Parts: sequence; structure tokens; C-alpha cells
Amino acid sequence: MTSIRIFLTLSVSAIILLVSFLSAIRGYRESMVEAELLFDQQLLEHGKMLSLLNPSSLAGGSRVIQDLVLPNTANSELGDEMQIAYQIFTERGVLILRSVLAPSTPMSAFEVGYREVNFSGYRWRVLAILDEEQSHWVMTAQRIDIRYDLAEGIILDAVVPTVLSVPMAALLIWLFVSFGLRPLQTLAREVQSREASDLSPVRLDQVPRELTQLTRSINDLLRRLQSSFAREKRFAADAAHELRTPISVLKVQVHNLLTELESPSASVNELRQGIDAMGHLVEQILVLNRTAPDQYMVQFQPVDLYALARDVVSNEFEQILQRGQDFELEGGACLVKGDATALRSLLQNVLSNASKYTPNGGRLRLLVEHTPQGTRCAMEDSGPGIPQAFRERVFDRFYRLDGDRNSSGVSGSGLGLAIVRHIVDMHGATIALGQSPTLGGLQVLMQFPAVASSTTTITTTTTPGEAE
Amino acid sequence: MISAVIIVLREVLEGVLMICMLMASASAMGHRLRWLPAALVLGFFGAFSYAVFLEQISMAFDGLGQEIISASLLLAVAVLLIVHNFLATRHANLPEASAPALAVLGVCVAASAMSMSREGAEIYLYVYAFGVQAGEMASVLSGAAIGAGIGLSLGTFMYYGLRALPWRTCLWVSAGIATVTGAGLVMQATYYLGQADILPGQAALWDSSSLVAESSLTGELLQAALGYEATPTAVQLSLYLASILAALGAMALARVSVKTREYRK
Repeated sequence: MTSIRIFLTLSVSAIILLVSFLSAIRGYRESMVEAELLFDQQLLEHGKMLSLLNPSSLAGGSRVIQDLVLPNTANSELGDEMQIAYQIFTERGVLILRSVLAPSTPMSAFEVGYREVNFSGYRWRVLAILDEEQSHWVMTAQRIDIRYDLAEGIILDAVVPTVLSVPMAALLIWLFVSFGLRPLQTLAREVQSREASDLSPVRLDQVPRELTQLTRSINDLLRRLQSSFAREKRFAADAAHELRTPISVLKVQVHNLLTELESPSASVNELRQGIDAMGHLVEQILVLNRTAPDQYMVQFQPVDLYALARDVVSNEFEQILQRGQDFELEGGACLVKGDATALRSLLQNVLSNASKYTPNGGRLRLLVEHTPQGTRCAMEDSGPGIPQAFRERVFDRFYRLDGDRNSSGVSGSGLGLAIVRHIVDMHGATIALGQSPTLGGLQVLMQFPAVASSTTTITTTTTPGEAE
Repeated sequence: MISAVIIVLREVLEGVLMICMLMASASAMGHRLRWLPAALVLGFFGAFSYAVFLEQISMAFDGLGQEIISASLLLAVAVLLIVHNFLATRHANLPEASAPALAVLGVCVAASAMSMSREGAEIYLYVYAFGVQAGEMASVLSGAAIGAGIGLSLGTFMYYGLRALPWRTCLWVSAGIATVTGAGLVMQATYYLGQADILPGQAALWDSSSLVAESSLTGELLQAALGYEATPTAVQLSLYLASILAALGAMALARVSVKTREYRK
């Protein structure tokens, strides 16, 4: 079953159609029988009336006039369609009176009762009766096809509206079924239109009894989801605390070890690099958890992306200087509506990636500027770039170009661009990777939607190591 | 009016029950009903063309065109129903090895359109001859509407009844209906082939007219559903049974092919 509405409309219409049509057929058949009885009654009434006319006196006393034909006008009140043929015979079977339609021979045998016979090219229903004195036979007849047509004409007047009313009933059923299903649509809309972060119970006015259980179940599910998200958030915070501390301790210990050893072996250096990588990985995982769009309970504020970029650059500047790279920050104050912490993480990842994968002495350029569509943020470098075929895959979690040991020789978690994509999605922005037109390396182009001009509060964050 | 009801109901039932069975069966095989509009359009077009060109069709094949075309359409649909049984059994036994959608939908569209063409043309000609030409429009049209309405209602119940079954049961029941319907179509085809003197005239094996007359309502409905014949000849009966055996054979073949495939794995 693909549609409740179609199922209900079709099945209810089919039931109504079947019941009403079968009733119509039954009504038709019974009405036809009734009509037959009525017509038979009519023949009888006419026969009786004719027997009261005293045909002998009409015929002029004892004289018998054969082939006496009643004038047509005698039948006129019955209408042309319902003409009744008459014959009156003496008890010895001599015809003394007949109508135009009646033949000169007896229409039926001289036996009282109804019969169906053929004459004048038609089939007739004939009634033969004897008058009260038992001296005359009166025969009255009607054409069966005319009786049938008249009866059917009257009965069809009752059947046709039944037939015509079914499509109208189907239309009404469709409308009412649609109306009946509206609470379901309202519930679906209510659940669908929610923000990902809105896990409050669904409240509907006048929930029908059939939907009460479903609404309760949805609310129950939302409540369980909310508590599980809360648990997960707590876990993220706890994990951050529990993991960061031992890693920091390890870092200090390795630092001390390196200081104590006059000529540290390659293994100790690798140990230090490993601990640094582990620390980076833990930080990245925590950022990714905190910024997952389904879970991140954000209250977006207008943030100056240019100021934030300046701030991030000051943090990363040491790495850039160490590698002898040439860096330019261009643009001016640009507001985007978002979360400052998440945006900082975004810029930090983009900048750090660019610096890491650009060779020593290379060039980096970060541009933050206004466009009619909003704010454009572009990070360009003179590094090797990313081939077209991999530009979508690099956003996957733990995906690294050419595997774990890629040609750049740079260690990484494979989470940086996944985090960037998450944050971009969360802010309703777009991201595209391409080739830098000026520096020839990778260009990471992000477009943030415009902020309504009424929002004037600018949230800027500063860090202790600000370079300016 | 009653005769219009009976005649149209018989024609509609013959087509609608089979089309609704195919709809339920195709759905159980995981196909949506997007093929239905195509089948309906082709069916209407076929019925209209068949009715309009009836005179030319009748004159073809030395005046036996109508009998030969009718028998051909009936036999073609019967063959398609046998193919349906093969596909349905295969799907019921091994859904992942199911036939390509094109095969299932092709059978559904072709069988529905051919059935509609024949039944539709017969209804059109009946309504035209007895309604328009005989001046009994109200009576014949009302009867035709009632007959068609009852047929469509029964088709709706059959479709949703089959859909209410578990999908595998639905396929088995559909295959059973297709077997009986196909045999009924073969029986009707033998009647036309007999009229065209292609099948030899033989003495009837029995006469069950006194039990169920072919012209009675029960007889008409039985004829529509099962191909009831009150006075069947030996050839007719043989072909009827052969059709049932062919349908069951197709199902057995499908089972064997599935088993072989599993064994090879």
C-alpha cells in the first residue's frame, strides 16, 4: 500500500459502488415485476370496463355487427404508446367488437387468464375474461415491448441518478479522506520543520485518538534522544578532560627526556612526533563531536570573520615562519552569523592545511571579503593542490590523499577537511575546492550567507598570542 | 438494462481481474505501478482501433479475420500469463535472482493492453449497436456503467486483497489465478478457432447446461473467470488442461532453475 488516501478512497468508493449498484439492479428487477403487475391490472380493469358496456346493445340489439372497430379516439386517453387492443366475442366465439389494433381472429384461446401470443408482427400480453352474465368474452391486449419500454423508462429515471451519483460520491470521499488525514500531515510537518537541535515534545491541538499513541511514541523517542545527546555531550567534555591531561603530561615528559639526553636518538624524536600527532587527533575528534550539526546546540551570533582570521593567523604564524612561507591576509571586516569557536576551528584547519601541504618558501593567501551574496573566504596556496577526482573524497572522515603515508610526508589525522565541511554545513555556507588562479596551488573557496543588516553586535575573540 | 449489465460485467471482469492480479503481482515483485498508465493508454488505443477497423479485420483471412485475431489475442495473453508464472515463481524463490524489471513490466503492459483491446472493443461495439443504433441509450449506458462499476469494484477488492497477503503468498495466489485465467482464455480461443474451422468440430463430451447454462448470470461469470463451457469437445478440454499443465510446468521450471543456480553457488 503506497498511499492511505488512495487506498481509503478506492476501497470506500468500491464498497459504495458495489452496494448501490447491486441495490439498483435488485430495485430494477423488482420494479419491473411490479410494473408488469400494474400493466396486467390495467388490462383487467379495461376488460371489466368493456364487459360493462353491454356490447349486444351497442351492436344494435340482437344484430351482431362483425368487425366493429372502436374509433381511435376511444384509446386516446391511454396515449399512443400504451394502446390496448380489444376484442369482444359472444359466448360462441363470434366477434362483435374489436379495436383497430386487434385482429379479426381471437387474440387468445377462450380460456380465462393471461397469455403471451404473437400477432401483427409483435408479441402481446393478452387477458381473456368472461363478463358477469357469462355471455361475452372480452379480450384485452398490450404490446410486450411497449410495456417493457415504458416500465424501464420509469425505473431508469430512478436508476440513472444512482449511477451518476457514484463519481460524485468518490470525489466527496477523496475530499473527506484528505480532510481526515490532515492531522497526520500536521504531525509530519511539525516533526519535519523542526531544527535539528529542537528535541522538545511535539504538541498538537486536538490530536485525534488514533494519533495519540503515535504522538506519545514520538515524544518518548525525542525525550530519549535528548537524554542520549546530553550524555554524549557530557562524554565529550569528560573525554576532553581525561585525554588531554595525560597527553599533556606525556608531552612534558618527552620534553624533559629530550632535554636530559644530550643526543636524543631517532626513536625519541619519533616518540615526540607520535605524542604530538595523538594530541592533535584527540583535539580534532573532540571538535568534530562538538560541531556535529545534529548535536551542536548553537546560538549563532554575528561574528567578524576577518578579525577572527587575523586572530587565527597570529596563532599559526610561527609554523608559517618556520617554513619560510610568504603569507598575505587580504580583505576587511565581514560579518557572518555563526559560532565563533566553530569558525575559529574552521579557519585554523584551512590555514594549517595550506601551510602544511605547501613546500617551504611557498606562498599562502587568505582573502575575506564582502560579496553581494554574503561573505567570501578564500584560502589559496602555491602547493601541489588536489587532483579534480579527489576533491570530493578529501572531505570524508579519516581520508588522506594517497593513504596514510602520502607524498607530502606530512602527518595528519584525515579529519581536518571533514571538520571544515561540518562547520560549513552548520552555517548554511558552501565550500568548493579548486585551483588557485594566482598561486597555482589549492584554492579553498567558502561562501557564507549574508547577515541581516540589523544585527550589529560583533563578537570578536582574541587570543593571548595576538601578533598585532 | 440487465442484459447490458451482464454483458459488460463479463467483459470487464475478464480484463479487470487479470490486470488487478498483474498489478498485485508486479508490486509483490517490487515494481511500482508506473507501467499501468502505459498499459491503459495502449489498451484504449487498441480497443478503439479494433472497433473502428472491425469491418476490415472481419474481411481479412477470407472472412475469418475477427475469429483469428480474437483467438490470437487470447492465446498471446495466455502465453504471457505462463511467462508471468515463471517470473513470479522465480522471484518468490530467489528474489535476488529476479528477472530484469523490463521483463516483468513488459509482460504486464502487453497482457493488460491486449486484454483491454479485445474486451474494450467488444464493450464499445455492444454499446454502439444496442445503445446508439437501437435507440436504447439510457438503458444500455446505465447497464454498461453498472456492469463496469461492479467489475471495477471487484477488481479493487481483488487488488487490495492480494496486496494484504505476505508478498510471497501474494505471488503464489497470483500465479494460481493466472493459471486458471490463462486456461479460460485458451478455452475461449478454442471457441473462435472452432468457428473458423481451424479446430475440428467434435461432439460435446458432456452437456452441463441444465446445471449452469452459459447464458445465465452464473454461467457468464464462470465463463469470464474460468472459461466455463457447458458443452466442451475433446479438443477444447485437452487444450484447457494443456494450458494448466503449461502454467504449472513454467512454475516448476522456475523452481528448478533457482535450485540449479543455488547448487552452482
